[in-house]
Amino acid sequence: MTAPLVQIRGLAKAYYGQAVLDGVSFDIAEGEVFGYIGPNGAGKTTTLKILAGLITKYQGQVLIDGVDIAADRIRSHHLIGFLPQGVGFQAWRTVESALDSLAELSGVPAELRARRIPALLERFDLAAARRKKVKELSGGMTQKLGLIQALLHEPKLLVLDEPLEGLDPPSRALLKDVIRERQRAGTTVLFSSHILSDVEDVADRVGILHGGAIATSGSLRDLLVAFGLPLELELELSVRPADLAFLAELGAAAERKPGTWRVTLPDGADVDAAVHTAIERTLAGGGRLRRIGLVEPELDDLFASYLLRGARAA
Amino acid sequence: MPPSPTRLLVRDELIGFARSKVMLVLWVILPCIAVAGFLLLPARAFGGARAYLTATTFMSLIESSVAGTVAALMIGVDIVSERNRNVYTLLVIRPIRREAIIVAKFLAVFGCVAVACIVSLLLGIVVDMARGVPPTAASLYDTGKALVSMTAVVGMSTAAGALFGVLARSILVAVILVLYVGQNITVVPMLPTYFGVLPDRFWLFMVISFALVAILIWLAGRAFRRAQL
Repeated sequence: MTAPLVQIRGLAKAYYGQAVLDGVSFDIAEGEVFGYIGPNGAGKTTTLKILAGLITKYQGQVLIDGVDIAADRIRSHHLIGFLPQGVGFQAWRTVESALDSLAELSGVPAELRARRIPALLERFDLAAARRKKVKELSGGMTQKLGLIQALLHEPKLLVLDEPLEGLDPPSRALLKDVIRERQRAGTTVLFSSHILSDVEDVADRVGILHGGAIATSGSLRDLLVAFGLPLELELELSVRPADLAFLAELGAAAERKPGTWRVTLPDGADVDAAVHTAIERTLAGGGRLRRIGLVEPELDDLFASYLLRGARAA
Repeated sequence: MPPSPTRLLVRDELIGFARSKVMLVLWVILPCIAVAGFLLLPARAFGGARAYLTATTFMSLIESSVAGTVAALMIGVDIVSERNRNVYTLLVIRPIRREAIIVAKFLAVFGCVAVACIVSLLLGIVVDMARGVPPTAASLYDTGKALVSMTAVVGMSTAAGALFGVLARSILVAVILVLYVGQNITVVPMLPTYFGVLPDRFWLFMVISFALVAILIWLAGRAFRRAQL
């Protein structure tokens, strides 16, 4: 069995005596997409900055491809591509010259730069803006440019801090596609987010940071089961059936707004059977459905459940 | 063999500064204003000494009074501003030594301001020649000496500006440190002579200035290497 590409052991960091990270440990396998989630202020950015070498004072050990980043910073910088939050470029530069300069500093030869930069600009729909000054770009375009600079030297590990922040829906979809493409090409991706649906779309595994430590990690589905969150079914009715009593048979039902009902399914309920029953009984009762589906729990729900479990255990 | 990161950074910084409006002011507008000021200066100015004042001397007076301050403010404000805009984040994550970023910034600002000093003095010589006062060997020697000491002051001011730019978190703090502390640092090379510890020698002033620049840049680089970005 090969060693994980990223090994983090007992990572601890405090600001002004206040512990932000308190013994964070986790591994990321080569080629894996790892979603790093947690509420605001949990320490996600701090962890990623330590990995990228921006924060150098910390306790614990971080190995990337067997390289201790504290001992060999230059080599670890070759291995990592990093997108920080609020990425900034020298304002006087054009898009093309900013990328060329950063790629040159990463040691990418001129002939490779000449091929890669136009290809990446094309992939991110920025080809038309290549001669624009960086300061003329919109927030979303700057964010894309930030991602391109992280990909220029084709790193083994891509570390992205809130990469989907500030992007419009097509750009979010594009970025998720790029993450999947990179994964197919063998790149390992670690990205932070507080938007669960985005994480679920691309991450193989997630780690939840809470109270300065990794509360738990695994696939998102595993975590939802582990946290014991109830599954909820939502129905939007365009025509109300004669009798809605069947909803109470499925679980605890409540009308959230006129025409929209939410049913909390009991533990161990057969979700597929519940959906089928809801459709059949609605139609049989002369009703019509506009929409039906499972409600995805929010990250907040996950945390509320986590905290509740902790309180019960105490 | 690929060029060293410091060389690449210096090249980029030079291009950036050369394209900035500050350099347009330093290289073109300020020398022109100084020449205009010299030509418009009344003959009774400086207690009648104006009549004997050459444009070259006047230009070196003007440059020596502003060049160091301008250089220190330029680099100090630039470092704080780029740091606050996360520009350094993308440089620090590359396989380069952090100190190279500060050394490159120092060399670029020092180079640009030194060029501004040379431009001003050359313009002074041209104006003098146009007024029928060609430079003598002695005046050229004095002008050269003034230029060298001026660049030494610019070097010290720039290095001090770099250090305060790295240490300060806000532009205001950087400006205050540069103006109130940085400018006094340029006096340090003269102190041993002033207190009679060392003889009054030009080369001694240059050696102390050079050593001070090296110490300040080393401190700035070290502070930047330890900075938690």
